[in-house]
Amino acid sequence: MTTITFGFALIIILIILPGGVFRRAYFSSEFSNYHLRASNFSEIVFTVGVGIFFQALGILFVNYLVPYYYVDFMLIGKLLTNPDHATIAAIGNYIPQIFFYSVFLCFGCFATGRGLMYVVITQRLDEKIPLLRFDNKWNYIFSGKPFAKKKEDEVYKYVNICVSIDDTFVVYSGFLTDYWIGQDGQLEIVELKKVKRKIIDKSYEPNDNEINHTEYDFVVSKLLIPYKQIQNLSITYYDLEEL
Amino acid sequence: MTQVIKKIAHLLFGSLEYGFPVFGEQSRKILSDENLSKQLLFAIDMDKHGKVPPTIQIKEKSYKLVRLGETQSIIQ
Repeated sequence: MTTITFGFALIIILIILPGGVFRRAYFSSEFSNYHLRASNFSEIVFTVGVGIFFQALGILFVNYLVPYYYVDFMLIGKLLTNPDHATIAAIGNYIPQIFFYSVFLCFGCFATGRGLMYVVITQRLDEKIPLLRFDNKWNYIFSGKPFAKKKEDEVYKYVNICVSIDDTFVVYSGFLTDYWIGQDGQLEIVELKKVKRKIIDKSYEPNDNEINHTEYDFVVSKLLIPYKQIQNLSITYYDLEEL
Repeated sequence: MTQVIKKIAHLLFGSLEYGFPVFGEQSRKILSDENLSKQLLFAIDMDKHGKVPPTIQIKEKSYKLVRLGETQSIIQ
């Protein structure tokens, strides 16, 4: 195996794998856009940075708390630069230990990621600290969670969506129940239930006494509206308080 | 079993669906019940017209509609 292959495999196992596992665990709520954007430089830096951090913690743990074993930095350096037969043979004697160390580290990363996500969401830290915000900005708008008094409160989202169809403006009003986002994290479709449809009378002047907008119930179980057709969107958030 | 496999697949590979449902158990119940959804829509209609919304009766319990906030965005 060439130096580059060895080095690449080592970097993946030592740094990218723990960072990736942490990332997978932390960004697994509905507040995150699940689709990995490998081309995004900041995500690679985040993964590698977290991987180095956990690897450093793991090394400290092994070197100071585990008897009989230690991480040999000289050996890692040799593996990354110029591995000879003696180096590979030295590693070969400790394959099970290295394997269990990597598995243990990945579990640690996973548990930390999930735990941190749980704390951030339950304590609503992402709403208070911008740095901790998850990348799916639409969920903050559409879930209405920032408006809820308590985290477990259910928020009802009643939306008015103005859509332009063949030079006619139509307003759809209903309960927002679902939305779809694309690979790039942009909104694609919104789903409404209990929909009313109102066709806007363009001849209407604000001073007119009589408004001729025609409104009627739209009898469909679900109405899907493509984001591209939306001209204007307003959401009113409601709560039902027990008397 | 299918749910467990789905959850594991979701964890490993990310969401297999693009949808993000934003309504909970109570909304599901209300929207699937014709009478309750009519009550809620009527209360919202009253609120939008600046009138005091009537209470909503769900299984012998009374609920008051409270407006929490509003978001508006001009997209195009």
